[in-house]
Amino acid sequence: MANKHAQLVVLGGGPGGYPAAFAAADNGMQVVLVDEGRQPGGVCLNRGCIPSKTLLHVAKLINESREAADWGVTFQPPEIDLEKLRNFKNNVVGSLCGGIEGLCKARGVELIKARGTFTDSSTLELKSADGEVSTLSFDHCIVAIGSVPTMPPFFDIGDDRVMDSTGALELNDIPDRLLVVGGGYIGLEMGSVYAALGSEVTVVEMSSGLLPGADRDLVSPLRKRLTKQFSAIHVNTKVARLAPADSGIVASLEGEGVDPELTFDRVLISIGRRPNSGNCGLQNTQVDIDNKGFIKIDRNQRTADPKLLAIGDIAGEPMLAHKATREAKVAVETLLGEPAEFDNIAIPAVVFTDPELAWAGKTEAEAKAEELEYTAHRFPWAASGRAQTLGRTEGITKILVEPTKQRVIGVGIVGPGAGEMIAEAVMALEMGATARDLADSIHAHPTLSETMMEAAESAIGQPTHFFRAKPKKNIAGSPQ
Amino acid sequence: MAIEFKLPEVAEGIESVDIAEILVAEGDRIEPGAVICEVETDKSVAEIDCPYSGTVARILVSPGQTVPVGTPLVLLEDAAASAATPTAEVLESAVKTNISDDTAPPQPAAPASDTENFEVEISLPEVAEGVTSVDIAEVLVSVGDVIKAGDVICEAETDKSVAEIDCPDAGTIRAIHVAGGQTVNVGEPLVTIEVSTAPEADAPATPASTASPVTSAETPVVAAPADALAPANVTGSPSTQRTPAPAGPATRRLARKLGVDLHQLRGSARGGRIVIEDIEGYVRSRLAQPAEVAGGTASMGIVAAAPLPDFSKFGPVEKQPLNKISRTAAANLHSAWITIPHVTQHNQADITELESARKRYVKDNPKSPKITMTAIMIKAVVGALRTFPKVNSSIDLTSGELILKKYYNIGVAVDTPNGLVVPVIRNCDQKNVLQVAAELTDLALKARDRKLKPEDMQGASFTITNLGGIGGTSFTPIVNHPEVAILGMSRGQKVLQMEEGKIIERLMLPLSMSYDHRAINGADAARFIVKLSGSLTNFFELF
Ligand SMILES: Cc1cc2nc3c(=O)[nH]c(=O)nc-3n(C[C@H](O)[C@H](O)[C@H](O)COP(=O)(O)OP(=O)(O)OC[C@H]3O[C@@H](n4cnc5c(N)ncnc54)[C@H](O)[C@@H]3O)c2cc1C
Repeated sequence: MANKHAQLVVLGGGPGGYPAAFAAADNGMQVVLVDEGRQPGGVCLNRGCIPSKTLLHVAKLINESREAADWGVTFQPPEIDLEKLRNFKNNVVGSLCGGIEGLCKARGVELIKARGTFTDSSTLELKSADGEVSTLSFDHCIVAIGSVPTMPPFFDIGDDRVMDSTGALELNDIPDRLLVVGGGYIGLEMGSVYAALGSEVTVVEMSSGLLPGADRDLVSPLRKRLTKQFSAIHVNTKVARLAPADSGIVASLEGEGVDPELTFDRVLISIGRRPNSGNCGLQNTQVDIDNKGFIKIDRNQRTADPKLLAIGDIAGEPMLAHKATREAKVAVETLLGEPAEFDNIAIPAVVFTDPELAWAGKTEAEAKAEELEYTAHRFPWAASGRAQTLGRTEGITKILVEPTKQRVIGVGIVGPGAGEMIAEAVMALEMGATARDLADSIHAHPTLSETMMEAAESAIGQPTHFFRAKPKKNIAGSPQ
Repeated sequence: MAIEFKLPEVAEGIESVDIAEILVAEGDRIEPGAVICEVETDKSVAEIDCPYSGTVARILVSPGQTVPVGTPLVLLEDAAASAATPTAEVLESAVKTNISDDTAPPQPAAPASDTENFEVEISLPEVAEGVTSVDIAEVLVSVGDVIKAGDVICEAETDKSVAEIDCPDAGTIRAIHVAGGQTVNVGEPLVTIEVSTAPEADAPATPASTASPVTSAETPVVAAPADALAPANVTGSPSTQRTPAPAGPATRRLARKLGVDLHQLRGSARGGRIVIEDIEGYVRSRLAQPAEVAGGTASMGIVAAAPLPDFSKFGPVEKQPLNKISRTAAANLHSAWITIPHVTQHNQADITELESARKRYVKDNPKSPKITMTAIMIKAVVGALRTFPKVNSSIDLTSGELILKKYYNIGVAVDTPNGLVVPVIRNCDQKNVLQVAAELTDLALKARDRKLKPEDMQGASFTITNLGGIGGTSFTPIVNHPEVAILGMSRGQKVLQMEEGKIIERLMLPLSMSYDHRAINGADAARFIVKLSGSLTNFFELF
């Protein structure tokens, strides 16, 4: 491995990078994929979406086995073989990452496991794990170097009982008492896993509610259920200090009605993620980086440097795997001169807690802030046959509709399976569907997807299974 | 009004800080200059003080947190800015900060009280007699603004002047239908305002009423890179701000491919959704219309030449096929000649000293790259282009823009046995005359050997053609579209001049610059050539 040249280098092998490399190779480009990890797949496969969802599935199984007692089916409390569980998770990760290596080979993408540092706009210096150094020049490079958990120096007290999401996914033990700092989706998902496995989980969130960004009415059923699963949820509360002690990590908490000092066996810091733009020589290129550390891009994923494109977490919010993958396609098509553009209307967001929370398009809070004219139509799952059969009636399906043409502008769902159901909403949003398009399409019975149809029905009249005296209107300042 | 006070730049180059201590509490009433918190950078500890007065409604950071510049630190209510603080960012609504109650479901907006509200479209009035359309220069209001009758909505440019368009009614801006750069006809809607029949709308009707027009949106503004990537104009293009047209991804892609603006179409599917057939129909109907060029005058098209007579009637002839180079050149020259209003400006540059210095150098440095007058001219042209950037541009009539190039790639016309080719020397501003000379020799050889690659002939921002080696006193070169100017050099001539009563001999170089009169006006072209000639005479300017 001396000095090498590639038509296209993709730097970073996550859900942004590897789809980009594959798409480019499928279109005849000579592609080198560079990732410093032991196996490709990035955060998503190695220490993000996939391992967390594996464990969440187990957590759901445990919870349902407990809830079945209410229906007359009682199981023994679960016995947890932590090593086997860890292996299950690791095997899922291993087989998916191995699959990517296989697909690289099949498509003729050369995979180099090394860390890349830009020395200028057309050259990377590569350093492999064994210290070998070489250079790789390119015509173009797609930068897909992702993000890492935010760990303020203040929490980084050099004690491995204080973990980030990566540490929490390693599942070293099941702590008796776990503190989760940050009530975003990663904190709630990992908190749910540990709670199901038997930890007493305390969540501390600085702002006034869990999951900032989601509509409050949808968070509410989730919060109610989490309140039962967790030992405490403190909002408007700050963790002022963490101090190691023999008995555990002592957290100083500041908030109303909260014990000022509590001791935990482990602490998960999940207060956000930051882009990896700091340490790979981007200053030697012409890219522009914004004040949050994201590379600035246009709607074709181009950066200010004509040789470089950027996709995924490094290219801005929302930091989600499926956004990265779509951007990968846009970047490659841009290089090919195709009429691509990241013109997506909906990037779905899914929180894989139980119940799941998912939304796409405008949230109601956004619609309000932007002073859009809309009507909101909520269909309560208590009126859904399927939800009743599952014993899960806390869900809500909400559709926001633009009032003149009745075009769907946003959908939010809370309830089991919301993450799968949101796909229909994304399709409706991208296709410019109207409420009637959804209401007049036949949805299989009995499924939760019917709630989407019925929410849409309430936009144009009354849903079959729910009667509301007068639908809620929210048209700012319209003639009365 | 509510203000988010954001972390200002603490020191040059510092992008993020660690919050060390928060020195205010929620509920505190603060005056301008109050210290909000102490922060640590990798070099120092600094106090962050707040230029606004107000009540601390919420503290948005906590000690130990690492935050980048621009992070909201506190939310102030009833805030007022002290005089010299232009950076206040007013919150449109508290919802953005996620402080809405966790339990309460979102409530519908408060119903209008006993006043009656209705919406009025304000359209473009007749700005001046005979003016039927204007270009919107800047929109000065934003949605949510409360305006008084007579407040200015936007600035508009006519072909002669800039006018302020003011609003005849008071009310709240509900929608804006135009964007900067757009051409609007008299009578077309500019904004929709909600007018209230209540006595006077000077009460703070909405929290956003005092918002200044949104400055820079979060959308990244990226210079369209050249290179293999087709440059796209992403800076503030109106389509990125409008609500998306009701059409699926495949339909949108087809529209992009064909250059169709979906907002111009009426969709045939339910709710006005645009389907692929709508685009096909639109394109078909557009093709059926007579072609129009921007500005409304019918295009002349490329006029076909009259049929040729049978020359053999007059004497023997021989037919030679045109090669590819000649055919391409013919088509390009023809279209440039028809579409570009050409003017040629001539001048004579005194190169007496320059030429003897050049000859001396060439004689004394036989091993160095051969410095030719063309090589020197390239450097001189770059100097003049820097002074007159419009000459280094392209004109885009469809978008109504002049595209100024920040690079200096000079094309040099080379006569080869196969025809005319124009290899390009890139980034001539970053090369000295020796480097330019070496590259020129190399490219000329490649041209003669037909070894030039297409890339070698792309990307010129200005072209030079030198016929001095052959002879002639002057000529009128044709601009190499999409550039806007070309410099012709003829054979240097010795002339006699009077200097202090004595007859002296000077070597004068005839220069002829043709230019696109749409991009460059005559005075600027004359200034350019005078500056260029002067730099050849006082050639120290070239170094
Ligand atoms: C616990 C957790 C759960 C998550 N759950 C979800 C979810 O359910 N759904 C979802 O959509 N998203 C989820 N995410 C977010 C998701 O993982 C990211 O959005 C996604 O991985 C981003 O993809 P990417 O390709 O931009 O970068 P990454 O996946 O971060 O990949 C970047 C890769 O580049 C490598 N790299 C970085 N710098 C260099 C360099 N200089 N040289 C060589 N290699 C380099 C990194 O090692 C990494 O392998 C989750 C994240 C976490 C942490």
